[in-house]
Amino acid sequence: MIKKTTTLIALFSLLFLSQLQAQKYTLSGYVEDASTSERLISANIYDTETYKGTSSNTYGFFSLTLPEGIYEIAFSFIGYNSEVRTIDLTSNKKITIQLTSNMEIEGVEILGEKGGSNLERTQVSMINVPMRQIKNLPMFMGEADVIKAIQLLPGVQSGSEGSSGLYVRGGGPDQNLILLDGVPVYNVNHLFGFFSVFNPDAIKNVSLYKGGFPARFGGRLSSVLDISMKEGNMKEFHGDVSIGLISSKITIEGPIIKDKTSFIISGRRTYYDLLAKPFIAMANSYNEGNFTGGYYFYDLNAKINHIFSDKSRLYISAYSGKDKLYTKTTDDYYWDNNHLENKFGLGVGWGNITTALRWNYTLTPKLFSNVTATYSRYNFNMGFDETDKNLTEDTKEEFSFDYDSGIYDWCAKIDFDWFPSPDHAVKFGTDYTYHTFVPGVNAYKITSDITIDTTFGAKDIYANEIRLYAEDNFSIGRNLKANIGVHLSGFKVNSSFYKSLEPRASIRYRASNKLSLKAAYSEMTQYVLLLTTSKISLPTDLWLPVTDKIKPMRSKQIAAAAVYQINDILEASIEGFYKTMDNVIEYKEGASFLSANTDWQDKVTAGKGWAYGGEFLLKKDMGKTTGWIGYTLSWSWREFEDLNFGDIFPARYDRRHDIGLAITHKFNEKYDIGLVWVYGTGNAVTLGTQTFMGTSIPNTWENFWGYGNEMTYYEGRNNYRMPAYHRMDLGVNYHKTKKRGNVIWNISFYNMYNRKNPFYLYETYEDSYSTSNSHKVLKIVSLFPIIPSLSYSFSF
Amino acid sequence: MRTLKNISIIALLSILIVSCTKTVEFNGEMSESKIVINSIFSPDTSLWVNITTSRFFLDNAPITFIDNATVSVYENGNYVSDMTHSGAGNYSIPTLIPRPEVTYSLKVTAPDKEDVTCETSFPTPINIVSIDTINNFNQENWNSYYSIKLKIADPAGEKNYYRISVYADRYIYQVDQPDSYTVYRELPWIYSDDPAISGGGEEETDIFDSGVYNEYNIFDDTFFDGSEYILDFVMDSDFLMEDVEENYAKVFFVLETLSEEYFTYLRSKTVHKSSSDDFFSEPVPIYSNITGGIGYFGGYSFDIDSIRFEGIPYNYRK
Repeated sequence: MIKKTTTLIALFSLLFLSQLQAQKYTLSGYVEDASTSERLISANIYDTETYKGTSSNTYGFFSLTLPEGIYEIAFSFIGYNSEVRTIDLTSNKKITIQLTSNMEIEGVEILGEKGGSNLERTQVSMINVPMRQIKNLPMFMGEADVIKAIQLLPGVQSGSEGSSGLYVRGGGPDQNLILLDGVPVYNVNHLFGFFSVFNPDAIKNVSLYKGGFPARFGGRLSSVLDISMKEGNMKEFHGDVSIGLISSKITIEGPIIKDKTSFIISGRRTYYDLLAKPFIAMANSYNEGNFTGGYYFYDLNAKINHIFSDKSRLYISAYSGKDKLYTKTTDDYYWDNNHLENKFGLGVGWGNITTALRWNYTLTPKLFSNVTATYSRYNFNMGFDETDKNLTEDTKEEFSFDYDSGIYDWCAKIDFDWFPSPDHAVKFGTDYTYHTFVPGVNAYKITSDITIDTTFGAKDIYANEIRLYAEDNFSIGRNLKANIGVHLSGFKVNSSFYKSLEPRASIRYRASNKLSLKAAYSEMTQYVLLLTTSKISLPTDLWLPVTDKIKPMRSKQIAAAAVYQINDILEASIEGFYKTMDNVIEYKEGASFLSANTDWQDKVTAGKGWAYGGEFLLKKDMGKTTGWIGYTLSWSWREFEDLNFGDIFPARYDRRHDIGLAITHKFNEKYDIGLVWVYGTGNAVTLGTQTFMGTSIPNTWENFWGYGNEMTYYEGRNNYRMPAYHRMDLGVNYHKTKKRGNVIWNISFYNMYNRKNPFYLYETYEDSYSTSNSHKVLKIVSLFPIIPSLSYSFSF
Repeated sequence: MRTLKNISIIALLSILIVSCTKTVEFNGEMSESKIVINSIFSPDTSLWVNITTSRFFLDNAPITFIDNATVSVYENGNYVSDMTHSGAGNYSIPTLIPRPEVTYSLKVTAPDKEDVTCETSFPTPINIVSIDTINNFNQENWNSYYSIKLKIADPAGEKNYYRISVYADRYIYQVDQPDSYTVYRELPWIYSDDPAISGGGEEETDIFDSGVYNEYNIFDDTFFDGSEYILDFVMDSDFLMEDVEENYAKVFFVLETLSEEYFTYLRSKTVHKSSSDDFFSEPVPIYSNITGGIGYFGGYSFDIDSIRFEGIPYNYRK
């Protein structure tokens, strides 16, 4: 570890020797959207003569230091008209550039990165998905979904049908760091994973990192999904209202103090519970019962930001989302001359709350700082209560039960962006997180002749996590760029302290104007894990820390890529990766999360995994037709001493072939369509292929009576492939401009050709077991047939 | 955890409400029927095997015995003889009584089947040091059981694997035939929460440590390597209840000493059975030591002790 640190310090020192040069001045400031003052992330700022330049950070800030002189500085961002300003750099200068959108010019859609930002970028295995494109893709039950769009990218796989799980480059669903405005979101699922918690109307930017992780990220092995919320329009009020089959949404944004303070608030709620009410009432009147029940989820995003000065800005953002399933019954009846009443209620709820307070402060023209305090909570609660009243004798008995589990994080961090020269963009910072894990607490209360009020369950677990990082994105000459960094972390839980030093490196060589070659190496460590079944994501899934017994998961990944800009609008890339993972967790043989009375640590076993493969992506971000096609050829293996008799086996979501096609096409100002087609090799499942007569064990009932000896022979874990998964979705948007705003009607068809995709596989008898015709068959359970949906949205 | 189970089942059911099913073709490699060897032997019987065929899992055909196989037996690598067929897939060498620490190998050939081989040995028995019993009668719920304390002396410096089993011969007095008893074989139910068998919170000693019921009462010496250990378990006494007063049972306590391989087989069979009905659990393969085939060929040694228990007349409960 000392050797690694020394090498990295030496490398950084060498790189900064080049700073000892002649008089230089700094041009710094922000790049914004002219109509909203929304800060633009990763806008390019460069000298048009030498092409020396930089890009804006997450908060739109840039800093470019050049020798004294007069420069033509270009400011560009995809989807916006570039601006070139003449800058007389005889002293440090501050500037805020407002770029105007060119989205509507000649009806041409511009959704991604023109001019090959991916060619230029040092980063390997990173993709920005334009929100506009996500919203134009076909919807599932009227809902555009960020996670489902991400699943279409190469190297990313969904889990089972309909799931919002992400399986990136052979990793598990808990190996993804999902950040909303820098705050980890632990459960991104609504309704058992069929919807994600992210409301697209409130989101500004989505970036996915699959490998070559910059040093500023850490804590998960396989991916980082960095989602930024919109800031709110600084100029004028705008809003969106959408009404869909299962939910409605509303977003309002605008200035509180023009050009100083703005807000955005966005809400979404499903209303199956409300729609079901009349039917429940009808059923109640028919059955003379008194039953209510339903299910809903909601999301609420809110953000306020205030500009104190050109140096200082404050953001407060919050997200709250919840799923709730509930029933209530009331029975009123007479028994033995007594008037009795029974009330019973059951509720299951789960949800996230995240909040972030961020303060940007520009310390010097070259040094930008951001201080953040965050709170993140995922909580699951289940409870029921029952009251029996004797109204005649005025007596009452009450019984209630509650179960709570969750994870609560408090975090403080400080990040710096330092731009010492056009050839260096340095990021460094540190953060501290205090975790509270609640593995499951039961509260039990009886009020009757006796009173019991007790709480029992697994103890809360507290953990402290600290991180430090530094990275430099630097150029060596015109064609070579590298991002070298290091991430240090420590995790204290119970009596154990784990630490890690993770080197990160990405390098890009610009072989020609059209071709970039890239390579990256990264190590990651993960201190929290998700105890979940591999078959479906459930709200009961538990986030837990490493313990004295369960060690941190670690991964090493190498990736190499070639990016080729075919023309101004078409980009192709090919990537290869090899990843190893240590201490990955699986349930022990025979254990499942249903196993009662067993400490979770005893139900899991640790092993190793490795994945490798190639990814191809062809992307078109401009023109009337935009979209991408991605293909992944990959392998993902696991080896556990305690599983499969120590033999290696394919991971459940090992997927040899995976294709994702996402296309949008604009016919005219009124009509556009979105088309999605996905194909994936079937999931690996364990299937016994032979039946045999086993031997009975002496001195047992099976030996005594001779039963139970017909057994199933499994050639190995995950030895069989379910049928391939494929599906086509189609969405058509109809746009109409009205006096007060724009109307969009969307009609979407999920699973257009009604493919019965496998959710799970089982064997059964085709006819009654007792008939002579009965024979065993293999069946799949499929969840979603063709699902049409309609939504209406109005933006003003 | 029971709460979690209920919620998960509700969740699963709500998903299945909207689901539909479809019959699909098996698209894997149609694996050939294999030779299945079954044999669990001990030094009180001659060496034997039962040979059957496996069948493709979607077939309805009955499992058939292989009655025309050639089963060659080797002892420490030296050919002994071929086994004799005695019907219903059974083969044996009546004169060959298995001995501990000897390696027995089989080569089985059968028409139209791939040859299979297997090899095994079993350890020297470890003796029962003592057995103590205490009768527990709970007057409140009329429940009666025996606490058993079985002491063993575990050899040091080696990993040992055990199984405890119990069977009983019940002697029922024939009223109409003086001095005559009818003998029935019984399997008294035994249960142990001894840490060596059930874990009991000692995670390092729990061989399943995943909530799986230790059906075969197997354990290893992790908890007491190289020392004497008193194993606690209870034996239900229901089998001693009889409406004839004069009856008794001779209960046999068997301490089996297992090879690691047989322990692995029993362990995998236990979790295989436990996981087969759990949607959320991965199926578990059963261990096999048959090369080219399926099944298990293995032995164990044992020490046995017996205790006479008097019958409990029903009127005892009145």
